[in-house]
Amino acid sequence: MLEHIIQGFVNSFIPFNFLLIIAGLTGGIIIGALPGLTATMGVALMVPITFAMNPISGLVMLGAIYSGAIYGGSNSAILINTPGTPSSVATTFDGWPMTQKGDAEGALNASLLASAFGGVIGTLFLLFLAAPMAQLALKFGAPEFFWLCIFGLSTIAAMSQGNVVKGLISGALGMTISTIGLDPLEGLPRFTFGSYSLVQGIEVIPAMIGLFSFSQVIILVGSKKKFIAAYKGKKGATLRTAKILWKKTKANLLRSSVIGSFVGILPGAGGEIASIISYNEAKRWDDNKCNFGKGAIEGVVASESANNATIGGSLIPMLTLGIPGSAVAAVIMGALLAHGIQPGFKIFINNADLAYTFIVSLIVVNIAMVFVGSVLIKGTAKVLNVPTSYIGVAIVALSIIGSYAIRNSMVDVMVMIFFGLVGYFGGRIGFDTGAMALGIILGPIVEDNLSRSISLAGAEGSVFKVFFTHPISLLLIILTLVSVLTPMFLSKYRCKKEAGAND
Amino acid sequence: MKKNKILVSIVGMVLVLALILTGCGQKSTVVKEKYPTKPLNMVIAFSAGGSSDIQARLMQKYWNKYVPEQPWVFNYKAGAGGAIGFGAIAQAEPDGYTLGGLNVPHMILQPMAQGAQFSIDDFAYISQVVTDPQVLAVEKSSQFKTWKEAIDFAKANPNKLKVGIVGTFTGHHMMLLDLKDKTGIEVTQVVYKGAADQNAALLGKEIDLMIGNVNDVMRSMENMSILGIASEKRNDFLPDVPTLKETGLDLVSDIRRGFAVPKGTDPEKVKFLRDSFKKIQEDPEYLADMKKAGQPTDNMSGEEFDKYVHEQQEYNKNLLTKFNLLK
Amino acid sequence: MTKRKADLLAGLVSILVAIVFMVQGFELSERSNALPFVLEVFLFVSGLYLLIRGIRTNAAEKGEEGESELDWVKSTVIVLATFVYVACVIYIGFYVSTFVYLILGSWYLNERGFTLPALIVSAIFSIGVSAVLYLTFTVFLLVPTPAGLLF
Repeated sequence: MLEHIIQGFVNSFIPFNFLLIIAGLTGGIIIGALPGLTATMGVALMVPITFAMNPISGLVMLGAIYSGAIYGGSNSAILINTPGTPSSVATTFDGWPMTQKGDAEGALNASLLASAFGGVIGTLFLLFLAAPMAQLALKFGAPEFFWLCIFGLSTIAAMSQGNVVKGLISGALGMTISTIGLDPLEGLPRFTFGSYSLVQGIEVIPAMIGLFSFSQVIILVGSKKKFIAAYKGKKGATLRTAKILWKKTKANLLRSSVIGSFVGILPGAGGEIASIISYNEAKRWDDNKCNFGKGAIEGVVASESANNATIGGSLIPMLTLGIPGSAVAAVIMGALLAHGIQPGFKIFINNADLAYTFIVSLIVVNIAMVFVGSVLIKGTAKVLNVPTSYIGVAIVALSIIGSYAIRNSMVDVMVMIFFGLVGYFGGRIGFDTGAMALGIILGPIVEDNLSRSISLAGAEGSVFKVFFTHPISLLLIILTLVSVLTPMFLSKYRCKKEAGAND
Repeated sequence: MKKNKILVSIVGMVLVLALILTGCGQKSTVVKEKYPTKPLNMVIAFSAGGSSDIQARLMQKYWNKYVPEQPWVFNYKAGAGGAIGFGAIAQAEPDGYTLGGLNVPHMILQPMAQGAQFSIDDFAYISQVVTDPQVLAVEKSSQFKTWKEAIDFAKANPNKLKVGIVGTFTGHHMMLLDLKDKTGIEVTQVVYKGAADQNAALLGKEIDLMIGNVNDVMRSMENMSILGIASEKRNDFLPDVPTLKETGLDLVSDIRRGFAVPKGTDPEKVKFLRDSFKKIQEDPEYLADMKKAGQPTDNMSGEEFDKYVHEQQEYNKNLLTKFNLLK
Repeated sequence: MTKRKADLLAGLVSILVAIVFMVQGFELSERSNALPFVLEVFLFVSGLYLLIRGIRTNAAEKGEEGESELDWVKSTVIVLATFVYVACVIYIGFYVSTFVYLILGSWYLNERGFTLPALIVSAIFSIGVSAVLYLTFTVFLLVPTPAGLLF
């Protein structure tokens, strides 16, 4: 195996391949940063281009785009409070406050370094532990996914500790909205209020763009501030941030990346869930938990390292079993198949060069990302130097085309505007847009797995058996209970300032 | 007042700009040009990177060879299992510049059962490109070595056999209904959102048996045992798998993919498209590419595809009515 | 917004949504309606809780969110302008509508007021942004943009 790994490194540095890495990273980061363009779309659009190249180069490029895009989403999350991709929702929680406090640079660089670190860890799992982790992925059935999502949703309660009821309502509203469309079990239209356009359901991305971006614009244009936030680009920011991260967030980085790698292997669970769970765990174990949500760099680190770690994770079942761990992994698998290469364990024997080069190239990609990213940060951060009177309307234009681009539907644009208003007015009466976004994202997964578990219970005999007797399910239930109850009963796990404002 | 003057001049500027752009936008339709004269919109009713997309991309390569004058621009309109995209094709301008991929039986079942806003009569069919038969698969260490054993188990233990399908009112669903109809078994139907989840569930032993397509199971073949294929003849991609027919069950079920333009498109343009597609679909390099990508080619002309779609509608209607699924 | 008002409104909204969805759910099958029903009940009960809490709260208590002053005239104008913009996108096309919206919007909002130099800046800005959007979406990504009468 060692010779393959070395060969992989050599191949990554072949000028053409290395050029593809840089180009892929640049394109990926930009795509990720633009709200409305997702990693899936970016990778999918580049697949035909790979047909003209040899498969190894093609895969290397796709991997670079994937990594760049998942990191890129943090740029807009931090600068304009809009997650560029769903994986960056949790990055807005602390990234945006950091920008408002004048430390956008710190947030951007932290996100960059954390993403690179997470990406490397995820890839290492892929390189050395693919087989056992793939087997673990298979053990996740409907009940396990259900409890995983409940665990994810329980973070809402933890996040909004001061206003738990409104936070939970926001999450519930999000989940209710996600039920609009075709029901997962019977395939019949539901809650469409008589309009056929709603049969397709509410697309997550336009809703999120609206909730975060458009509602933010409404505030921005009405505010008396000239700029979104104060910003002074100082030299050597990346290095400085690296030192801070080394000092303060080692455990956080490692823990979040591991969480991300594991969540990534599950088909259907990706960056959004991983980043939320990591964020919550980082908050739980940090002594300064009160700072979370107000601009704690640890929050950004947790979210971003987790979501890039899911990349390596998602490729594990894809390469070993032909089961993609994420939508992008599915697209990459499609590209593999179009080149006539079968995924599966045999890929490591029959196409060893391809497989190992691809995996190893991801490590190169993540390291290169730090350089490419820090150059691009200088560009993207300039956004903060543009007065709000210009940036505000530009964001609106971008939100509209971004929402439209997902599936060429004006319905999505109208959804975006609607949620923008919901986000703005909801925010004024105390609702939490992050929780609502989580509800919209996790709602379908919860329902899908809930109904399927109930179907399975029909064959297994009892509902109780299905939900409460499988080992992984039990583990997740215990985790959820611990997660929710410890802040309530143990003051150590409670943010001291909020202990009084509990409701 | 100064303010008003400025406002007026802006409005004037905008109007002039608009007029100029409109003028540029108009194509002179006086002279009859050779079709096509501008890029064609290719509507894909599923997400980028999926099987339908990959197949269309392969065709695009050969379209550019035979009709180099105008390319395809891909337009992804996913949602509602394809219904949104199919609807978009049906409702597009029948000017010959929008075409799209159709999937059977999706396009038949959606108007019947889900209130989709199109019908199979809204299209002028260009051709069929793929037939992806359904298969019965189990995890390779399963107790069932033949599909008959699975059926016998189901007969002896009603509702204990867990059968996985992807989506309701889809090809898998129809095959399960057909299977239940023809063998009289009662099983637990477990629905998944996509082939990835379903494959994982089979390998993880959450379900005992799954209905899958050739295209999907090929990726995990080393971990599965394919018990039977629901086609007339054995499939080239799975030569060792017996057909259900040859082993005693007259069950044929498959997913088909084809292309169409909205009804009412100029018959000459339809003919041009049919002829161009025929050239592509008979190109040996195209066929080789399809094979390499694991896409089961099955070419059928537009007229034949049209007929097939209508026949299937009858068949599925009966099946759904039998099981009381048509409201 | 005072804490009381916020709670009352939030509670009301929650209850309303619950009722609306509940009504729609009557025609659905039991299985289809299972999770929605649970959610609706939760929304209703929590909404009620907020209403009660709101009624019992001292009317003078300040809200937790420290809101800075909002110029709601500007915000409303921009929101309405956006509605018009979207309508134009459908009938006139994306790029033309964007161009006009960006010019007029940024000119309206800019702090120097309705002056000619400001207009020119807005125009340059609008052309720039429109060009970037064009290059990214139409040229680089080949994503179709809504096109109506114009471009």
